[in-house]
Amino acid sequence: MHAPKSALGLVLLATSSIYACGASDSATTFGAEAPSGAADAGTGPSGNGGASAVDAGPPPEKEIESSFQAPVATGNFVWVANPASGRVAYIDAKTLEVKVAFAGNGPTQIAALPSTGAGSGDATVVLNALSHDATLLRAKEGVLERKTFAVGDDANKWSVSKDGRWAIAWSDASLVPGAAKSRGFQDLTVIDVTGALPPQILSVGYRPTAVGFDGAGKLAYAVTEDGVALLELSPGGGAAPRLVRNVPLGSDGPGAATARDVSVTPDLRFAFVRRTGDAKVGVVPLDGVGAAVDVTLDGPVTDLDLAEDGSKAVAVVRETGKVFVLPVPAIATKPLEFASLPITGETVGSVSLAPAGDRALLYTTATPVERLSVLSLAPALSFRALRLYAPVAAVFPAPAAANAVVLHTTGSDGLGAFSLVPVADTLPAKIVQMNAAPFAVSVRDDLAIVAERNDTTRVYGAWIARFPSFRTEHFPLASAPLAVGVVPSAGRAFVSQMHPEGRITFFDLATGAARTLTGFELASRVVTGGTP
Amino acid sequence: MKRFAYLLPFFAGLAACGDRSAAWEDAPATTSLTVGLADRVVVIDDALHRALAIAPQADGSARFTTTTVGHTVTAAVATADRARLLVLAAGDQPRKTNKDEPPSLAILTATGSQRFPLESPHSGVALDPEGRYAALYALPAAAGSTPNFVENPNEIVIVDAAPGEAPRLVPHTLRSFGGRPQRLTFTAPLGLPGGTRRLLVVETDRDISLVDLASIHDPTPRPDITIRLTSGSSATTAKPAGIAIDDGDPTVDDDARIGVRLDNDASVVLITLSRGTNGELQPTLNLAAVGGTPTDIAFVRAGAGSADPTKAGLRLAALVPGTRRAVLVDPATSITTDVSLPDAYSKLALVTAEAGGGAGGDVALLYGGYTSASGGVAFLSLGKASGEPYRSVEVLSLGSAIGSVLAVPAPNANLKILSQTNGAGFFVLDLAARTASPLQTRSAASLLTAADGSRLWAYQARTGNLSRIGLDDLHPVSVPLERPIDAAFDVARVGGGRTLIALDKSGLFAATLVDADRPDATQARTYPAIALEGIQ
Repeated sequence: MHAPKSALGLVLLATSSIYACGASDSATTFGAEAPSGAADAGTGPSGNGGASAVDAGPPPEKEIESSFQAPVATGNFVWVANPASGRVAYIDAKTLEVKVAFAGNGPTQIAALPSTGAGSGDATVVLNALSHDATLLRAKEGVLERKTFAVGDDANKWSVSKDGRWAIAWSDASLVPGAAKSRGFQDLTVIDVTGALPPQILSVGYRPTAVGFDGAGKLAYAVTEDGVALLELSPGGGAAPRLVRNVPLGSDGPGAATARDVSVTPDLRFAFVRRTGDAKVGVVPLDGVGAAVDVTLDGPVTDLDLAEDGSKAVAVVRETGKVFVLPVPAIATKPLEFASLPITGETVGSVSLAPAGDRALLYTTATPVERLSVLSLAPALSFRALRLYAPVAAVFPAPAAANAVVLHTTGSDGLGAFSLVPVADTLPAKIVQMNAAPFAVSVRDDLAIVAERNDTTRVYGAWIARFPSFRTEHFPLASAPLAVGVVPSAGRAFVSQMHPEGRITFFDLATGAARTLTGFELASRVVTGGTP
Repeated sequence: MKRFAYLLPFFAGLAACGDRSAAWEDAPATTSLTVGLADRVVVIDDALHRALAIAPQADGSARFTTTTVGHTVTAAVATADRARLLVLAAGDQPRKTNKDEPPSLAILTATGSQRFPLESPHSGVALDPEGRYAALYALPAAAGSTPNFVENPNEIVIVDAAPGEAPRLVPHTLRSFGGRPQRLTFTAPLGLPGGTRRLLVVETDRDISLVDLASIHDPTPRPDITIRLTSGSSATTAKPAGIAIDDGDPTVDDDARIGVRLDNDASVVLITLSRGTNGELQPTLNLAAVGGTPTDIAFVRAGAGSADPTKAGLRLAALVPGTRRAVLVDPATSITTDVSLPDAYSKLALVTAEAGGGAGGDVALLYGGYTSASGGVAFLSLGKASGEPYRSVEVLSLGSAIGSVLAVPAPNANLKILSQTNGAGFFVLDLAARTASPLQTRSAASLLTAADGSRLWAYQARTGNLSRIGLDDLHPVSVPLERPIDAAFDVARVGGGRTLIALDKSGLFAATLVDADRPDATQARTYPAIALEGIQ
């Protein structure tokens, strides 16, 4: 699953950042990767079990996963955690006024809570790594509310429901490299931020890889190596959240979960399971109704993406160059009834469905192909190919899918590039050479921000591209970027950067003016008025 | 010691002839407080609690007048226009009887004086370069040196002498987080949220306070803004060592900035005077590392390329002699640009207008050798070509380290007087022509420029060696005086022209008047024992 789901970008880092914040499920994914074509057979989540030193077939598609967190933006503020001081700085994106709030010991991952309505203020939850608890911070009408909840010991990630009521703190084992096998990371802490129900620590299967919610906020799920665990959030009668059932996804043997990609429909009725090198897509009912079925395609499925509304799943078989559209929920009972389209003349292995759901972008990151295909899903399946001028590393469609940003592989000279791709219109793409490798990206319907970073040459910058004009502006940065984002209500984009005292640059989207704040906690100690 | 011990035998016989002023009983005060005003020189006679003014007359003579000031004078400073003299007095300490004077401030003008009692003694006076305000505060001093048993160093008094109004004194207590004021600076009018107004910037030993001068007389003045420079995560305090101020775009009210360099810290702090949530002034901070402890900072512009100079690249220039660099900091992004310098200069002065810059960018004069091997000055020119700032460094090697730079008033504002640290002479630097004319001295010379910008005086302290150098032709004229010179002042004379008044502070003081335009030692008039003037 590749499609970015929100305007907030995440960053892949090899080392930890001082300001680490948790991303919601809907965060944009991105990362710097090795040039495509590098042999990494059998390694990583996308490892292709079929590739070997003798059979030099195409490597697996590279999936850019986020392994780090970013400052989060709520309606009016940007929130940044400082694990060293135990404080969270929140910056008013309009006035750039900085305040700090005390969290717990070692605040790290922050997640924004969606607004629950007018007047609900801006709220976040932050995991305190050293005190093993979580703090809810809500800034409302100039007052900061603070609540603390106990969480499981190893929690290092957040998932938040769309209605903003529920937050689940869980442990992503991929963020703990070298963890002993005996560490199962199986505790989930379900928090009702309204406080109506007490926090509940529930145990799920071995090493969850994803946690999410249904659209109604009644159920949550966790994809684990033992299957998909389903949680009922409000059983009723004041009862605490509970684990309802665990649905196995098939017996694949030890380590098989790492070669498995699981997508869950928004209503939590089905899980789609793709296995590396396998031509079958498993469709597993999670509601206990019906049996699991396998949908057999005409070759190893290299990628599968689920529409945001859950109405379809789109699978790609690179070997045959075909794309398959599996209707949901019909495919669960009629596994032979699906549409397919050969993408003739193109090499495709990955798919990125636009959130709007009526278009998908087809491409490959396994071989240096300088092309992209736009797949129209309605009224009938059709595609058109777009020429690019550099190999594709990652694709980020805008939410309404009128445009997309394509990141290209970084050259040996350390310079990256990105393309602005018109998806809705039949127009050429625009390629922009960068001054360093791309590091973070955030895409909205009206603009995109791409940060660049080269720690060797100390070249750092940010590009802001406008849609539909494709006009780009470049802004050099004083320090290495960590993450990018947008605060629409303030009309500002931001790039957080590495600095011992904390640094963030805001860009006024109307005027293009940049303003940098350095020293969040210092800034919070500016005293105006009669009281400190 | 009796003032007139040597005359005792003479007066002894007259003792029974009548009363005499008690002043005769007092020992003359040895004071270094001598101040040059526009048309007179004032000597503070603390023993008699008076200010003795020496005003040159049209005929070359001196007219002496006295004005009562407070007891125990701690400071005497002239306003920037040299029209007024502020005399700060600590009063009689300890004050036990109602005859003991309280602390006071006297403001002396050409037409009279006013005295204002103070609640507490103060030792420091900060002056407004525009001449309207002054601030009285406690100079940083070792604990225990205050005359009061308990002193609050954060109590200051703002003197508002608005034109056409009687001076008003406004006591003000600064919000403190343990700091003590070190320096006070009055800003020019700045475009700020809420309206254009002036601020008093107080640097303590750990933070910066902003006092809104527009509201100091209001029943509820705007509260101070305190910018703490230490994050609180360690016990080390960041101490301000100097500031620079820029108003930004005059049509914008939230881009004025204050740059702060810190003592023993390789960062500079950029404070933008932004608008807060409530529409009022809310400073935002930015830090930039400059690679070493800066010794001087200034806001500079890297050239316009457009009709609006404020759209040019504003930078905070920081001199870092330890790395032989000038670092230009973009206040908006914190991006720094290093400019390698050929020498370890420690001081910079903006000389754009004098050096003929402006449209092309600011020009800064770099001087102040950081090491004994340093010598000369350099011009740092900032410009902008094709949207990118550039800079050039032009060295004027003088073979000697420069310790100080003296400005010359118009019409010779394009000249600067550079004093060599080795005391072997000085240079007259022409900023426009980039020439430096050396003038040698036999020994270290004290220098002063005339207010009309036409000449320079050089004298050797505690000797009668005096020379006048015309700044048009750089021709030195020797004017040897009989009396040793401790201080000298070039002041306007009644009826036109100017006079040099040289003071000998030994004994009862002596003043020698020399025509500044046509100096002739043979025509000089010396007034010995001027400390006796006015005593009946």
